[in-house]
Amino acid sequence: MSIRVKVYAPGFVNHDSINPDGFVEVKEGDSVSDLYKKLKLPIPLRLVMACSVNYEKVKSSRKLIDGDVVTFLFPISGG
Amino acid sequence: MKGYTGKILFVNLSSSEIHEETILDHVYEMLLSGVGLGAYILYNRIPAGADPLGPDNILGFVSGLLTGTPSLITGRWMVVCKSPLTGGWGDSNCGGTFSPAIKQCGYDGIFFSGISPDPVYLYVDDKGAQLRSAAHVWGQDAVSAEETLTKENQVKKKPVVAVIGQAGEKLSLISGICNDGGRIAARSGVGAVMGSKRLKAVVLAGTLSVGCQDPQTMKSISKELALKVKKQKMPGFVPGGIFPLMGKVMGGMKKAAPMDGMLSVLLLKHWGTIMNNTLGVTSGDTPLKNWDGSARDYNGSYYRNLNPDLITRYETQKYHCYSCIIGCGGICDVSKITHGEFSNSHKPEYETCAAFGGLIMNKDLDAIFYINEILNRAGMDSISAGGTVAFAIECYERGILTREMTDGLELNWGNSKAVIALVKKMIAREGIGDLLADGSKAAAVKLGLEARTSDMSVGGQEAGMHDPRMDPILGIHYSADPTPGRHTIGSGQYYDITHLWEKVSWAPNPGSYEKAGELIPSEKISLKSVANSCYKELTDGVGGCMFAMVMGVNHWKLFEWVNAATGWQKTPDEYMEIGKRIQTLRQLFNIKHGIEPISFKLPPRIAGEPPQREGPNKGRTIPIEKMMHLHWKAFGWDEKTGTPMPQLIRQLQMDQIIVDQN
Repeated sequence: MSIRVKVYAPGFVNHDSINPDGFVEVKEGDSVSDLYKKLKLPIPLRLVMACSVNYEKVKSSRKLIDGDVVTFLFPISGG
Repeated sequence: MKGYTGKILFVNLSSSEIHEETILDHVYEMLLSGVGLGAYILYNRIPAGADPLGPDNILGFVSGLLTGTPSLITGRWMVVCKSPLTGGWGDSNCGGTFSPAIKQCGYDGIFFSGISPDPVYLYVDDKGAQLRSAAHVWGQDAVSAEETLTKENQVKKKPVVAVIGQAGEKLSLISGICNDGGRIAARSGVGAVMGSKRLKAVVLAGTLSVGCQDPQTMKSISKELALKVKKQKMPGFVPGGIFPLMGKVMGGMKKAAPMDGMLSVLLLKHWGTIMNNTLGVTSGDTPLKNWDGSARDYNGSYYRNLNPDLITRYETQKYHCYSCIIGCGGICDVSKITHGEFSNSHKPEYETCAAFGGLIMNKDLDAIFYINEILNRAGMDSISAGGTVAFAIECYERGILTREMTDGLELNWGNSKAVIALVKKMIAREGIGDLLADGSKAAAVKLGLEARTSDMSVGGQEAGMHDPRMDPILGIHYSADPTPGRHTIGSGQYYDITHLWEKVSWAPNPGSYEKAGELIPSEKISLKSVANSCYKELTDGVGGCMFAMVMGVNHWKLFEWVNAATGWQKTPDEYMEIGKRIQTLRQLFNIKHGIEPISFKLPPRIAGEPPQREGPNKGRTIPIEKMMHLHWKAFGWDEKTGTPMPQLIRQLQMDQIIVDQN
């Protein structure tokens, strides 16, 4: 059974699995780490890219549940 | 009350007459407060062709509609006037504590016309307003004058002060207005307008409260946001040295996609805006060597000195602006760096670090700290000052400026000692400094045709420290906004984070897209830039911070807050129409004052003509003129001239707010 999570991911991941509304279908029981693989996030970047689920810092082993919001760090500039 | 007071204070400095005026509800419903209210007053009351430094210009200090309500990150004040730098609409804004102080005096805005015969300051408290002599603080820097005026006016409550330094007094066209110990509303030459009126300061000591329709709903929205922001914490072990790598990754991205602005909050909380110091260099965002260099020129041996950790090690205190929960500001101990000349200083912002770092090929961080403090005290815009210094260095290297003309200063790239001496001369208007104190365009006009190719100003104003060759939509905003060269209006990156399309029916969903496509003018790109422009005007109408704006509409809930404050129950589309109305009124102001919008087009070098030969922006040229025309068309302005079309003016019902008395 699959579940849907909302993903905000930078341009260097594989966006093929993200639908136009920003959702990704993953298998029930998949973790953040599995999502990394699905998005083909380069392995070195998995170590330095901050990622949160529902705006809370989590370990990559954290299991995803339907409706989760997964957000990657993205610097904005200005000031 | 609906968040606004419904009153403004009007001060004629020529006659010393002070009176209150009532502003009708429909004006707020059509234009909000802040920049919208400012545009309403200025468009209708400044005669066409008025001298920006003459008595007919009006200088306004305006609070945001949401300032003082239970909303968050809505504490910025706007200063509005006819700009002496661009000849058209001028505005600038700043955080700190001045915006709520305006409302605590019972007003949404305080406006000044005329010219005082002698230096004065305005004092306002609950009992009323008075003009008082400022002879004793005229000539003082902004920080010293603020300290003096605060001390002598403190009764129960500590007053809040907006003040000019020496740059504004000497009518430098790149001067701003300061508050809270050297923070500055820096752009558009607003300090020169205040100086021309011989108005040294505005001192506010009111204690009135601000009411709104539904404070519980407002608090509920704020609580949700505050909780999210509180959770964003940077792990302590992540060093600032990571940013060059992040920049390289970002600069090399072929694709872009909508992101979530919430996580960037943790960077702002930890470092402030200087988190972009080195990231910007390697990503292609930071302009280098007067917009002609790349990260090959300003390489690691230079930019590593701007590592944000090297700045925050001097930080002794973090601070928040009024109603802000991010707190990107900081106070640094600069006593050792400045050899005891100064003790504390605001942490330099990214814009200052870039303008006096890569733009002039400087790697001396101590010099940046020092220049930051003397500019804050003088009330001079660090973006325009850095852009003008870069212009001067290029002219010197090209032989247009000689050693005799620079009073003996050797203005070579990266010569920080010479740059410090030059900035001091600009503040004092001494020698070569007098030539440069009005910005690069004015200096280039005086130096002649050859110098103009080194002038990187946009419509007369030096562009912000972000390169449109990396983000072409930024180039549209630099060129098509009524205040040109401003980096805070919008960009492709900003738009992707706002998530406007999730609430506004006509705002396009960018989805995942090829970055190269941003160089091809299209209706979709124009709609993005128009939506971003409208949303920025709303942000400036409510007193919001740019960093709140780019959190996105699902976090920083402007529409919902304004509905709760006012009881209006407008839809996001209806609010965006207000944003369009404000922007159209600003554009009409420029048309009224003889500005040809196409004259704000990017200089060829910034547009990538010729394209760069190396670095992240290699080979990129922005078809800026075509993009400007499409932006105007998407706004409902004349595609060829940029003049708002009569049918749009009717559609926006602007006849209800245009009551031009001239």
